Amino acid sequence: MLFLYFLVFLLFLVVILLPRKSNEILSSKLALPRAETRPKEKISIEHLPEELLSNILSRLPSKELQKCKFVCKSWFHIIKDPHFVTNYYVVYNNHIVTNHDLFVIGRPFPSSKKTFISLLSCNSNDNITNKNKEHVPSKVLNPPCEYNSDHEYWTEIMGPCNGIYFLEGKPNLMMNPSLGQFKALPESHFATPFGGNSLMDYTGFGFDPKTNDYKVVVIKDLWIREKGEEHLGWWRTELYSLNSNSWRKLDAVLPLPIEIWSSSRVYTLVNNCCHWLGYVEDELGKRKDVVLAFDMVNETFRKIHVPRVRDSREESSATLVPRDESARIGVVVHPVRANEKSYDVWVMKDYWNQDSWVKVYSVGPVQVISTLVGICGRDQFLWKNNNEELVMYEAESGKVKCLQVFGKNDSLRAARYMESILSLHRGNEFSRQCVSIDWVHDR
Amino acid sequence: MGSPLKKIMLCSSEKEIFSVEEQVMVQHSVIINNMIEDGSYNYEESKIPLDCVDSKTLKKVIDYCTYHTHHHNDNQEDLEAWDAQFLNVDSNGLYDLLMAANYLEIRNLLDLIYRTIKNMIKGKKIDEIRRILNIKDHGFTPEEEEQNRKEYPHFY
Repeated sequence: MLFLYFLVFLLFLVVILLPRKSNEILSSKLALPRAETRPKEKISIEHLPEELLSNILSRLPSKELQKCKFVCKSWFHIIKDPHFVTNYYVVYNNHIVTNHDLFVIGRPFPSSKKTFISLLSCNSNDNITNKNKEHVPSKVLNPPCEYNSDHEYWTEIMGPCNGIYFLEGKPNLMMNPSLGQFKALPESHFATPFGGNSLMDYTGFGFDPKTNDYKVVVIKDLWIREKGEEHLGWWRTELYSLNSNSWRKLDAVLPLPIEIWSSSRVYTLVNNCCHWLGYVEDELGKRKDVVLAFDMVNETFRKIHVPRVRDSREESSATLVPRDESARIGVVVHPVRANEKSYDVWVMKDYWNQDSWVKVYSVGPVQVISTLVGICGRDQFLWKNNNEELVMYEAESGKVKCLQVFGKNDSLRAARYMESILSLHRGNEFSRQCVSIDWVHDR
Repeated sequence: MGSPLKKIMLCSSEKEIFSVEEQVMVQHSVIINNMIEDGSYNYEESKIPLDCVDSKTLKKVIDYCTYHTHHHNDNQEDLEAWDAQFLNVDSNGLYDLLMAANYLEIRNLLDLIYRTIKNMIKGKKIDEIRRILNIKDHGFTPEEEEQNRKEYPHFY
């Protein structure tokens, strides 16, 4: 009897469950992502899925996002989220804006003692009218009044590093131009021993993702006067960390012997390492190009061998550049004197293998080029021509665009302008020293 | 790619059935394209259930896909004008469309809606944005809201 009951129960189970099972198979076959919202309920924007909201907000310039934070709480949390901050930088600069804007400084020279700091709209499709295009006109920066005298000046731009720029000068600065944050770095107070004298500072700037810190490294050559002659005594390296807002001496050993030409004009941060072009002398006294790398994470130096890319320093000029979306380092070589110049682009294919240098291409001759100032995007070179005007040259199409920005006595420095909502604020002490600045429309 | 004459059935949240040219949906919706390609759609029996898309929104989505399939050779300006007219809906209608475009992975429609909402925000004051986007509950406490208004009066 019990057995019969059990059978009936089993049959009942089969009848109830089977159709349900086959239904499930059908719907899983037509598997569509399950929506979180109920059908009839009206959606409002504050309750849209975060991913969709992020996609909308990523299309807005950083100034707008500063305002959007206060529109509603869900937006506030999204815009503050570090993942959004990182993602915004990539999406906005690479997929939303179609033009390459430039961050340009005119270094002071005798007739003008002030540094001219500007943002320049530089659209490669200027002649095409497109109603939907974002257009940033040229803007200039008046430094805050406490930094606006003849004693303050800036001579080099390094960056962008996640939208942060380092301006070398007096005082050294970190800036987020899109947020209008302007931060003067403290001076390093390490005394030079034995009356030694530092002639040159070789500076590098970068990001350490491990500690989420922005660092500036300075290599100083210390010279000593002996029997009426200056001798290179030793090198010293110092490091500034934004997190601690202070300088410290570095123990890292320089891979000597090495001489550094100068801090690179074109910002070359690759694999969290900043780079300088330098040279070593062989037994015959002949100079050979090398690259010096400083690893921002491990705080170590490395010497990278460079093949023979040029005959001599007098004949050809070499500039270190980032390549392939800052995954590799490269060198651009062009003759110093000729009127029409061809140039070669070399790349170290595998960043960790110094034997992997190859010449990728030669371009030219191009009439306009004189000195390489920067690189914008893929194979768009920013040159200075013989009239000291900035020109954009697209290697692929051969298109040349004069930017109507003129310098004097090698005064122009430029970097690609990137929008970023990454704040320089780090704790209270720092916030007090961070001044906000405004850009003024130039024309 | 399906043949142009074949039709597929879409079923809205109200269980209303829409018969659409397969080509139209395959070209625009990544998810329907995948379904047709992997053979999980049965032309005799299947209806694609779109539980979170109501009939009104589904009809608009189908209109969009149909128009863009048949007019993709039109000049850019005409298409933009059509799109602008197409998205001339209230904010809730816009969010419904956004959810549907996201659900069906219709990338060009998604992009169009993102851009439209972005333009509704850009250059406006916060009070205006809240009104335009129909934000009733901003989620800040009265104290926070007062503090924000005091600190950033130019945003409001």
